[in-house]
Amino acid sequence: MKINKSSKVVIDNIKKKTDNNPDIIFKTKKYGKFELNIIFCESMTDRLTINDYILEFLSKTDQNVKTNNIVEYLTDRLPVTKVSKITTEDELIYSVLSGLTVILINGEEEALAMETRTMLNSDITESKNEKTLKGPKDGFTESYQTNLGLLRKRLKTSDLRVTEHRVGTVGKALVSVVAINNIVNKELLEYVNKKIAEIDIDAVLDVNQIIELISSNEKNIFPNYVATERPDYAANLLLEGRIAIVLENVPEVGIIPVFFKDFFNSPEDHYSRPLNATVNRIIRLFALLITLLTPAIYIAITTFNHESIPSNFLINLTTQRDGTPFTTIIEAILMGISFEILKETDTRAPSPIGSSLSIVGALVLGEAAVTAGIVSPIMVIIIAITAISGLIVSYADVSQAIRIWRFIFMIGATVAGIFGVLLIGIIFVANLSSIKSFGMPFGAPYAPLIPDDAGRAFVLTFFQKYIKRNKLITKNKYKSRER
Amino acid sequence: MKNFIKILIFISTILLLTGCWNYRELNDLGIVSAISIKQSKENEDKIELTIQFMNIQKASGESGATINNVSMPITTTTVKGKTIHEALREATKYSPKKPYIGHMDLVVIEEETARKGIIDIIDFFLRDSESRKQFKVFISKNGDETDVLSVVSLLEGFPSKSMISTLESGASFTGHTVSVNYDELISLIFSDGIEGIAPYIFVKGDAKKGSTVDNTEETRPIANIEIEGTAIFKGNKMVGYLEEMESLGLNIIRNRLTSSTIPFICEDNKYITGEAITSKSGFDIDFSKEIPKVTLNVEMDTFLSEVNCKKNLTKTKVIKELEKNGGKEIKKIIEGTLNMVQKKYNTDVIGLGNYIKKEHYKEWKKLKDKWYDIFPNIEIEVKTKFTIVKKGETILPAEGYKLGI
Repeated sequence: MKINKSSKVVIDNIKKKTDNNPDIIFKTKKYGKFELNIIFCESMTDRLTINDYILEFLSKTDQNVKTNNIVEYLTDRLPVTKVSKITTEDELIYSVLSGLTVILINGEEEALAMETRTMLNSDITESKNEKTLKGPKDGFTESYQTNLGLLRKRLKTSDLRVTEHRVGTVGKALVSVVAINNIVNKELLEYVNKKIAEIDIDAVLDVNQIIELISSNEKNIFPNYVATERPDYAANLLLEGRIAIVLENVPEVGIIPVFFKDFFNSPEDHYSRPLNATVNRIIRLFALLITLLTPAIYIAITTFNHESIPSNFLINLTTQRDGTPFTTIIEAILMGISFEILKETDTRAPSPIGSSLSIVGALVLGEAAVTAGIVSPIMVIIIAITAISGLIVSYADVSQAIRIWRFIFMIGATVAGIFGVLLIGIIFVANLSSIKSFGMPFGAPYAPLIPDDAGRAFVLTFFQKYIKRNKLITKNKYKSRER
Repeated sequence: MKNFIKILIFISTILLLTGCWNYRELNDLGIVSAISIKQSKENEDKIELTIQFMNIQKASGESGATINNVSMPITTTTVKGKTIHEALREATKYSPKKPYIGHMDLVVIEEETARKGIIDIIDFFLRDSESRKQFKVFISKNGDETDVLSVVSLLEGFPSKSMISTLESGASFTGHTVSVNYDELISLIFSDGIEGIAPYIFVKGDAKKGSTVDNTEETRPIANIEIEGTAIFKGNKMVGYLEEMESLGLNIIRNRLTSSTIPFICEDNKYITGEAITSKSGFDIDFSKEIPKVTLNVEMDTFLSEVNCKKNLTKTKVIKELEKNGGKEIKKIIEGTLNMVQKKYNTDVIGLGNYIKKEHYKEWKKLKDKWYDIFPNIEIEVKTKFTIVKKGETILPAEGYKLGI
């Protein structure tokens, strides 16, 4: 709806629409022969900016206004960073609610919006969930502009394309799709932009919701995107030709497409010496196998495949199992669930309670349960090593997906021993290879096999040798100008 | 949904392919560490089995169920049956846990039973899916087969482990016995031109008292297990026994000697010890005559580990002389072995026939049928090359320094 020439009508409309919301302030001011209505939302604006620049400027200059085109006049002279013209009432309300100050001029069809947003956002802090020893320490924040700025800071090129969308009929969140134009796969970029524009929902509050709305892979438990808190990692992935989705008020940036191996790589890998990073990656792979398989293999060898362990180990295990009341699988599930509960409460509990919780958990689950003869000591070790290895993946979605598979493996082991573990293993690999992340095979570079990248997913060479990009994602093959 | 059903059908068919389907908790296993086999004296068609179970107790001492603070590492049961499996199942009458032979360390067969043939009774271990084929086979002195499973020792918790360790160290550091796994024994028995061998075991001391806790409380154990010498087979029957030096010779001929000490004369009644480091042997066969003429080449490298006579070891001439003496010594040992296996028992445990079969197959086809007619008559010439590679940490003998040579 166009802005009515009469300010009174407009203000009445706004009041009606916002149901007389108390924090929207209307202030009428004479300015020469014009009547200005200054509208802003108290909770979203920086009062100092309004007082010091807008109101003061208007007060000082209201005597000598010598123009008829007040809109142009004010646009030129107002001492604020950004003044934009708005022509519709909806836009006006949106501007006010997002913290801009609007000057509505009686008798004009255009209004002026000025940047006066206050910083409601946290400062740039260190990323909490993806820790590294080396490399940049800054992390994304709740501020949309800051997040875009953090990305731009690293990619100062005109090719960095930011396409902005507004998503949600109620939430009206800003979403931007960021990519490097000459590297990204244009079809995918277009597809993502189109899908985001088509989203029809009241509000989105997290990147995950957007990704779910635009992808067709909601059945799988593994995420088809990586949500990173680290601008350096995001920039790195953008350089590979991927697409970043930045959502307002979310301190994480979603990156698509993604491969399974990406969850086990740390941004730090490229900041360390290649051999060390290679060893780290192999350790992470081992940790993945341990956290997936240890309880299952333990169950298998103690209930079915007794002959597959050395005699001394068998004697040892039997000694520990002696006198415990539950069967191995019950014991494993009991301990596994106890640990998961402990982990969940530790995440949710207020931090002062958290530490006492972990002490009680460690004492009860670890020490007392064994002394009381309820569980065997080896089971505590198994659960502990499983839990520790599980923490190697910093992305919660992935570690939770691995947890579900761990239980499936345990059931397989209970039904058919090592054979069952193998069977579930086949299903697991088949499942991984069948996932697609925005058209890209999740299992790459192993399924399908891409010889160039297959080795490099684990073995890192010196950075100067990294001149090729992943050819699944981009057609722009080379990183350096020299080939 | 259709796909899901398809997948379900696939998975369920795979489940049908599985071989063993035995879910058993560890606490339900009666882990058998050793079995002894003998033919019953009373009724000829029955087999008498002594089963040694491991006594698994709780690791944490305080809450463990120990009776009167006494805990024996093993418990044994003697059962009878027409077959081994029947006898094993019979054991459930005495034991709360079903015998589990997957981790069995050894099988002891009584000499008299072994002399009647072993294949007919130990087929079970080859066939049973639970049984590993890696356990050791011992032949025991008559009447000792039950006792060797009862003696407890202090140095190693489980007697069966102790016996295995004793056998391994005996075979690899002295060469006075042989270490044979079940699968090896079976393949030796069924191969052409080679015969089975097995270590010989017996109890020294009072076996009755040796099976009580007293045995572990004495610094000088009342009873000890001793593994010495070799039982040799012909076909599946045991035919004889080789003394320890003859066993050493056998090990040298079969190229299985890893290490041993060989004392040989240096002057009068004084001895030098050569520690055999490597030993290689090989046959050289001349087929020109009807009965082949065999040369056995033995090369042995030794370290001098002990010199108890006044010899100036810095002189090459002296070393040469010592090497000659050593060569004579091993030649004597080997000829002793050859005499036993060729003349006395006429059984080809040295694997000469097998060697001919592998290297000269055409000749073997001619010899195969009459092998044991000619085997005792084959003239085996032993050529030895004894080398002293190192004289040890000092050059002169201990006495030499005083004498100033």
